[in-house]
Amino acid sequence: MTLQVRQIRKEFITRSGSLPVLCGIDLDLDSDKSLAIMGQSGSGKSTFLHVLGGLDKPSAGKILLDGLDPLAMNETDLAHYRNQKVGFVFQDHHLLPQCTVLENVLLPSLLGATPKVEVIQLAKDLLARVGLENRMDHMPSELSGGERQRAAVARALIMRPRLLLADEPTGNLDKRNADNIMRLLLKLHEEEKNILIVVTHSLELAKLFPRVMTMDDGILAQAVSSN
Amino acid sequence: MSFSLGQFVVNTARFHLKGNLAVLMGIVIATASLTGALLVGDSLRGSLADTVKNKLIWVNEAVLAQRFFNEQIVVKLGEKTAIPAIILKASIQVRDDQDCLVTQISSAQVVAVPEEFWQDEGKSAQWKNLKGAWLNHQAAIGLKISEKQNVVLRIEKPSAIPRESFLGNREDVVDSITLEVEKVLDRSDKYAGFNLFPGMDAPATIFVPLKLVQEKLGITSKINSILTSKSGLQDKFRSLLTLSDYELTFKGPEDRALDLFAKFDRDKNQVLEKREYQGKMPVKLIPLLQSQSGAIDLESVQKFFRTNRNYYSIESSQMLVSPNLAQKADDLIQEMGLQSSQIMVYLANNIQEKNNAVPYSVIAGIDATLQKKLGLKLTENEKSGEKIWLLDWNESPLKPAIGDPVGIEYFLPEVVGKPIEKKDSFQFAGYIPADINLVDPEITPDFPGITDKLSLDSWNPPFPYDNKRIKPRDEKYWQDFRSVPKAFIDIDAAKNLWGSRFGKITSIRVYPTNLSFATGFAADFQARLLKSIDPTSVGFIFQDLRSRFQQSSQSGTDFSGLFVGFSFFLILSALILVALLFRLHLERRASQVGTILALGATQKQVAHLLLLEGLLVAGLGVLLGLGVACVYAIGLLQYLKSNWPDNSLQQILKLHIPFKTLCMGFVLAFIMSAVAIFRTSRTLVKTSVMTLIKGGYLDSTVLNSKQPLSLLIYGSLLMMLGFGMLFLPSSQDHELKALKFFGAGGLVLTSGLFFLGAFLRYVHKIMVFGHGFDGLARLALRNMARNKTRSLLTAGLLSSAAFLIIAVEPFRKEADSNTGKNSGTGGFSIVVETNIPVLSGLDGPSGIETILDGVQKSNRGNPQRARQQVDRFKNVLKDVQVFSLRFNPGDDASCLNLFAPSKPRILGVPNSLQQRGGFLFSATSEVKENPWNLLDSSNTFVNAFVEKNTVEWMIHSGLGKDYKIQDASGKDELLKFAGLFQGSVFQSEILIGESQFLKFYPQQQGYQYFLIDADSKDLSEIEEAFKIGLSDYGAKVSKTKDLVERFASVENAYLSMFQGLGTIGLLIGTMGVAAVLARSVWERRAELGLLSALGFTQVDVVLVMLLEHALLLFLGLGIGTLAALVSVLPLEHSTATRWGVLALLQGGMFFFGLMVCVASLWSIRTNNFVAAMRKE
Repeated sequence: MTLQVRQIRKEFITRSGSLPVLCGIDLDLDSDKSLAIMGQSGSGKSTFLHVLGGLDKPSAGKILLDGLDPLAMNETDLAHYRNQKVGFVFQDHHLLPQCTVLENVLLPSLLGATPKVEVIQLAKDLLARVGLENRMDHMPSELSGGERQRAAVARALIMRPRLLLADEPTGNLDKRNADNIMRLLLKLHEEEKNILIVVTHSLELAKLFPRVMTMDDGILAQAVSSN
Repeated sequence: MSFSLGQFVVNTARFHLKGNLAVLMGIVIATASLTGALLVGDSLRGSLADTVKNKLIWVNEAVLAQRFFNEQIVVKLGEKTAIPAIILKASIQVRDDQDCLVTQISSAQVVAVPEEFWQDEGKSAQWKNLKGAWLNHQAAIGLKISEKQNVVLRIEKPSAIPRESFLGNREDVVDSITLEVEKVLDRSDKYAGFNLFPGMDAPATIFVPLKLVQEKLGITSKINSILTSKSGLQDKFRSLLTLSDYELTFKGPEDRALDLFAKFDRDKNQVLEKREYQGKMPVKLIPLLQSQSGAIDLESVQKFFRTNRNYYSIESSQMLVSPNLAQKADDLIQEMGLQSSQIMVYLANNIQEKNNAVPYSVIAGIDATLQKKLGLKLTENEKSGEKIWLLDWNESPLKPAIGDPVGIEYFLPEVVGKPIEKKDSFQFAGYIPADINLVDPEITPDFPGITDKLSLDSWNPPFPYDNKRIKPRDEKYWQDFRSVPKAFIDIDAAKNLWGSRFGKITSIRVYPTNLSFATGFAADFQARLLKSIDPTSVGFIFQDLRSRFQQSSQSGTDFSGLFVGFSFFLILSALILVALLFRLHLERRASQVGTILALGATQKQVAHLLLLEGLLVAGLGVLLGLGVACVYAIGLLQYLKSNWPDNSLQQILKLHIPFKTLCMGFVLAFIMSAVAIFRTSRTLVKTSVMTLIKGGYLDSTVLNSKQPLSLLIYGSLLMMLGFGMLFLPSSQDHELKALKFFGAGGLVLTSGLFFLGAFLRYVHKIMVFGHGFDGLARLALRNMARNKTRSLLTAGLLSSAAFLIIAVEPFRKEADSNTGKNSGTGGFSIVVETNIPVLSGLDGPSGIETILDGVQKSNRGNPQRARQQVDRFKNVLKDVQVFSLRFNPGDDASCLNLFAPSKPRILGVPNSLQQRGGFLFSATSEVKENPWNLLDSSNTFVNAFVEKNTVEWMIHSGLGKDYKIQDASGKDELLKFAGLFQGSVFQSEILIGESQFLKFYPQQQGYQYFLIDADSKDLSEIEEAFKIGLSDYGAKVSKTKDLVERFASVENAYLSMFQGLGTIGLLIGTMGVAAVLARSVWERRAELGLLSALGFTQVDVVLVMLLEHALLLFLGLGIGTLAALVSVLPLEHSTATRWGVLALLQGGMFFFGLMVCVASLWSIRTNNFVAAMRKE
């Protein structure tokens, strides 16, 4: 198994006591598999994604990605893990307004060791693959919402991550753009052969994925049917 | 519940309390900087004004004459508030039982006053029968004595005849008065600071009863000052002056008869007995004065004078009638159409014809009128200037034939050092009958020690006199004719030979136009003569001291201007900080502003709302700032006091808070803050509504209008202008120099900011890629360019502060380690100033003798110690070279005196020093191998030298400019500054050539300022030798190096303070960077969260932020430093410039700024950016 998740628990301490968010999640995913997670707001989907991506620490449990345990890593290794192994697409594009589209895609590479020319070529390829080959020198403010999210997708893939996590990537988009982005994510996933986990509210979009799970009160369960 | 606009504004301000507090803090700093600087100026001026009150006590006006005059005039004034006084400079000594010097104050003030001076009944009563003296606290401390101990005053002896004239007394110059100290006035006593001359410190003063001083100095009923609290006495005073107050006599036949009786008629019976006049009156005159009965009574004498000596004679008790008074008398004689004669009587050491000679003979220069009266005639072709007539007395060995040469030996009329004898030859023109009726002995004025002696042998003249040369025939002549001249020459020849700066004639005779004088002639003539004489020419004027002092205290250096000028960059920094903080504050509220605009408010309405809120904060900030300004001003004053080279400032400087200044500070600070706030709020509301709602930045809409190229062009133009200013013709005008300095600096600084603007636009185009440091640095650069206005404001803030710190440094002064001939010390090691002039100077071996003689006198009662000291000092003084300078007292023109010098001290430079040259010149009007030769240049102006700082800051003039001084007669004289010294010992005075000095101040005798070139290893010994040897002269001995350091330390005190202001500015700048950083972190939390999500470690995130702000720090400091270096390029670089310290300071500031950034970033390291990102 490429991604193994065992008994992940996460609790928040509030004034009224302990609030469980993730209640012992187990998950196994091979490489080149994709998964859509659905659930209501506050069910713990995003938290689970952040824990997988090393942005948040669980209260208990274990994660192994290609044999690496991010939960056992120190801050530096964990940052390296996020940079090299994980790609993130957020609901908001979070493109740096001061950088061009191409520069935004190149941002993660600033920490890497890939030769400059190669990484720039890769960024241009990715932008071409997401349909932004003519927009790479534009500023984020000059792009539409869908285009910004496509740029964010390209940025997430620049380091060729083993795990691509997308947290409501279409939450701010119209139906057509949302569909395009989701299909783009799946297409790139197939091309890159990575693990893709997408959190979404949309059943329609979830249906595009071969495997769909639901999160309910911190418990991840297999959806009744992929259809 | 009502909800008004005002309430809305107040509520909003309260809601955004933190942000508003930050803005308020900026306004407080700006207000404190501005008002504090103004208060420092006010305090300096106010403290000087207080000093005026303490110095003058009750005196408002005073006559301060340079000569003694009759005390009676005060009585005639009939004004109760007018007090007669003698005010002198003297040295006060404490001597031990063996009459050896123990302690001394070289220059103390002697105030001899009657009891009326003390307006305090207790003091007045104590003063009434006082036989001793009172000391003020400064004098008691300086002498280390207390009550009931004796002090000795060393005062210059009054002398009617100028000491440097041939007949002047040069031996007995110093008078001593021993007094018991009966009281010491403590510092708090209002009389302790009494001083009639503007100056910073209260002088050491000894108060002595007037009568006591008059008696001890032998000048009964004479005073030199009148003090009064009343004004408007000038006209009455002038009307009361008599010719005797000008040392003049105007005597007719009756007066001279009365004089004769006053001299000889001891029993006052108006009859001269033989016993009374025998030996004292020319034998040949007696029969002429006797009446038919044989008696010499007043009536017969008066009759004789009326018949045979019917003239009025104008004479002077100074022997020579001063040139200006002689001119006035001459003018009046012409005006009245009178006949007159000018006479110049001199003493020939020898009159020689072939091998025959007559010693010590009176010789007279007479004009054509008198020549005619004596029956002397010359043919048309003969020149009277070459002729001599001899009195044909029986025993005369001189028997020349007409045309034979007759030699005359005489001493030169002005004596410096030893009298110099000169010989001239005349052509014998004829004999004058030895008829005392024709040639009267009164042609020669009375001279004590000569004309009052019974025989030639017993003469006691003040010049070398050899009575062995006297022969019986000479004594016989003295008995028969006494002071009747033995020879006569033409008056012009006599003036040429014996005229001096003290005068060219000894008397003027006025003859009646008819046979007798008209009734009332004498009174009329005297009245008209008195009217024509300007009393100010001898200091007979009631000076309005209070106004003069007050003017001096206000018109010196413009301290407010100076401090505001040097605080300019600090004020600018604070205002930029206000703008920056207000901007950051508004940016946080961008979305709210956007919402209000979206709700339908107009840009103007919103701008007004923001302005109103800003003004509320500004008002509070300015009010608070005024309080802080007082504390800030106290700090600055304290700093100035503690860095002042002496404690004079410590004693007088106190904080003054005029309400006017507070109002001015309030208005100015409020307006400036309001403008900064208005501009920022206007920019904000001009941003598009949607950008604002999204919390967007102003820059994208406002600043992108200018392209890098245009900014580069503007920057280059400004840079060229800045550099162009450096090439403006060099000028000594300090205002022009300041304009060049600040103009060039300001332009280069602004151009630097334009370049930075262009750079920020350029880095906007640098691609962010790569990896490792390169990639992070590119990202940091891009971030810096993200909010250009903010970055530019921050850089501007830092650069203006850095500019001030660096630019001020090259002005720093340090006593030049080079003490060579062309340094500030001129190669001299010691400067000596004396209170009493040393008549022959101290140059050469005779000067050393004078010092050694003084050493002996200082140890009067202990010959053994005297010998030991003489031996010791003789050895160290043998290679010492002394240059003596003449000195006219006046106000200290150096920066040590905060009062404006209205009458600076003047030094007369002797030729020997001019030829030697030396000293460091900042500039001269002409390039000469030896600049000192400029003092000799003869043109319409008198060339003068002065210290550069003195001329710029105290005298407010410059190289090549004119400066008006008053000569001894009160006439305006124009000086032209032909040379400016740099860092010299001459910071308190103006230097002119000695010959010119003597023309301006003919009455100044001797030398009072000495430059000593001595071996540095024996310096302490030499210093002691001068101190002891010249103690009777009241010598103040200083090492030149100490003196130069003292002057430099004042300047450095100011400079340190201005650098301190720069440092505060830099701290403000750093605070600005910290505020910008804090804001950046806050507004970029989501962005930082993203970076974390992308795998950036905390170190990477911090590094990117740090790089961005460190670069801003570096560029800000760099631009300021560069601008400062450019602006100081044309200046003479001081050796004291501490480039190392500056580099360290700049490095330190950079490091400090960096640390502030690190601390700010450290505080955010625990921030959960991801959470922030999620929130967004």
